[in-house]
Amino acid sequence: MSKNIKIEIKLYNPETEQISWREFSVPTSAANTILDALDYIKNNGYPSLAYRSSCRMGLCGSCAAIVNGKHVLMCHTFCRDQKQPIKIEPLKNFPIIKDLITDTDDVMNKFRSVMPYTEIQKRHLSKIGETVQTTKQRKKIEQSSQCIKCLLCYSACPVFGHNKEFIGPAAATLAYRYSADSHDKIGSKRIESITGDEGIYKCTFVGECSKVCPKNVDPASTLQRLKVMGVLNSFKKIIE
Amino acid sequence: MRQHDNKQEPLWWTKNITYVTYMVREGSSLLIGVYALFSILYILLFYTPLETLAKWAHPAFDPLYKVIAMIGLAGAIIHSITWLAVMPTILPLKMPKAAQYFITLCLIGLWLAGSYYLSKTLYYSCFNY
Repeated sequence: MSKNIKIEIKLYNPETEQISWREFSVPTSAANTILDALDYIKNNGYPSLAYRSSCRMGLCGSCAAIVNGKHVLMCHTFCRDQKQPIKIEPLKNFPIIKDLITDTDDVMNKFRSVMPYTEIQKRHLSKIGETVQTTKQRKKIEQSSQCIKCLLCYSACPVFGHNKEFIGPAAATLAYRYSADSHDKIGSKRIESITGDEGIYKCTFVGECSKVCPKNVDPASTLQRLKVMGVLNSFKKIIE
Repeated sequence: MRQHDNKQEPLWWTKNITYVTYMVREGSSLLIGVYALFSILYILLFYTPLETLAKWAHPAFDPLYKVIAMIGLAGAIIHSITWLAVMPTILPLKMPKAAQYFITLCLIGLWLAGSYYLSKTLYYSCFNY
């Protein structure tokens, strides 16, 4: 049975450079998500509505937004659970291109800067060229490997909001994921890339990044672990 | 066509309870800072070669020092509790809220026991109370 709900969306028109709130009435059923409601609006009378979406199952992280003040993936948030009118805003701390679409290039470059790849050590190669990793070694990077780069953590991070040069939670998590990988041989070079002036030490441990993470990746914890790795790396450099 | 500069609002920290707690935690360190500065000043005065000034400066006789010490203590309590409360959130485990509160309470208990032990062995023995 469908029921009409009220949705308010924060819209940005890049031609007039105006921000406005607009209310829509959307028929929804108990199974409808916020993303379904946006699709309905776009297909029924407001085709210029701009938002990102792809997998619709909480895997790609494209549809991250702020719904009723909470950082969520819209495909994983049901209309039935929200207080009306449902207010939808784009992610904070990013420049808005149009409506709910933000410019994330800066953070994508941050991801690249942490060298998110492994250079396999020869001793990890088996005779037939496979890379060997034990369950215990895999377990160490399991949680940080779950990051889908939805950027909700950047939107919730007041340190990034204050200083856009800060490397931020997801890039740090990515750095940790590869630095803690038993295959990796980049090691200290990567740690050095994230311990500069705008690196991990700028994190003041607000903790909100971990609270909003839809995949329970826990970037706040990762950042603290990286701080320890950074300090140990400095000592190592002094000894060498 | 221009992008909208989505700047952080000046009152961003009022938007949710985590941000408020964070600001209280950071703000409480200022109280500890005031106490630390005041203590340094008093130690300097206490060891001044002028005898009358040294007597005046003795913290045990100065009510102002006691007030500043209370402010410092309040700051230290707030700072410690807010830090301990955030600790369970960084554990790499998915826990229910009740388990997180339990860990926070255990940490507060350990902190209280540690503080009592330190005050008993260091502070009281130093000042012969």
